[in-house]
Amino acid sequence: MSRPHPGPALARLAHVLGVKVGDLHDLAHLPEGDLRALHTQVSHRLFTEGEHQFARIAGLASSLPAPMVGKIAERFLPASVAARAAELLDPARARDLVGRFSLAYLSDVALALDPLRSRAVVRAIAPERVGEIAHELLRRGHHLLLVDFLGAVTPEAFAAVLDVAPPADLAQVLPLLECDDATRASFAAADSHVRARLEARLAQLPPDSAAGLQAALGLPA
Amino acid sequence: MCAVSPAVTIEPAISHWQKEPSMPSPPSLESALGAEPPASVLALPDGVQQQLAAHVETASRRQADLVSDAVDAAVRGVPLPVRGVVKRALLG
Repeated sequence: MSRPHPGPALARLAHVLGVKVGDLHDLAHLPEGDLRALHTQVSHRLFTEGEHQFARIAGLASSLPAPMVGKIAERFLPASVAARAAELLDPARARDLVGRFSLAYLSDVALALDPLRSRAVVRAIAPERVGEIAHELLRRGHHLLLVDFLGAVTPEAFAAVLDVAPPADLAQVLPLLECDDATRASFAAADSHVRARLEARLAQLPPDSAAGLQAALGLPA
Repeated sequence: MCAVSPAVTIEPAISHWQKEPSMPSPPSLESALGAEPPASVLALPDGVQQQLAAHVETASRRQADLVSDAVDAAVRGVPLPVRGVVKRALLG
């Protein structure tokens, strides 16, 4: 029996619940927006019941020297817990810490970030590092989970992703991206050099793989 | 094609509570979420909602265990010069 193909929201929900996408097959026919709302409710419950401890971890990460935080976190802190604490960090501090983690650990943390709570932190990460994370997640096959992460990055970071990601992978991910008002505004405000980079890279992708994205961002097809 | 494979083992969407009538009632999905789910989710069969609520409760217990274990391990495992700072920060 054929089933609806899972979208990013179902993959995100399965990830936060720690189950396989197939375990949620009864939800696969639900509207993407309702699945996103359900994910937000699950994520909110898990965050609020551990918020006191996440805040303590974030406080510690803000007070110790960054190199030490990098070592302690990778040794003792599971990525899902690190993600919750990271969502509470000052973005500038998060940017500093990102450079202290291995790419493997950082990618695990990125997978676990909540798309709403992590937006400011994700936008603080250096564009080249975002490109490395995206490349690593694509290499691991996490195309669906990358969608939300890409939806939060800056235009400069998005250009860095386009620079390093294989076109075939981008052709799978980009059609699934949904641009909210904040994303459209940030792309509209991007400088001409960044816009030119974006336009050039998107133009190299297979036809129609980024048409919706280009239109949403006000970029020429 | 997307990279997340749908080809996984599918368990029947019937929770163990349904199979064992003598067990206490499972939490409702609304109770597990602490909020009213979207209408399309509420329209799902009871068994599917119960399974989803069970997933939420399991995720909650797993997270609590992860945090507890991580804090314990960090307090015991960090170098001695910073152990006091870490202990005060994490345990108060």
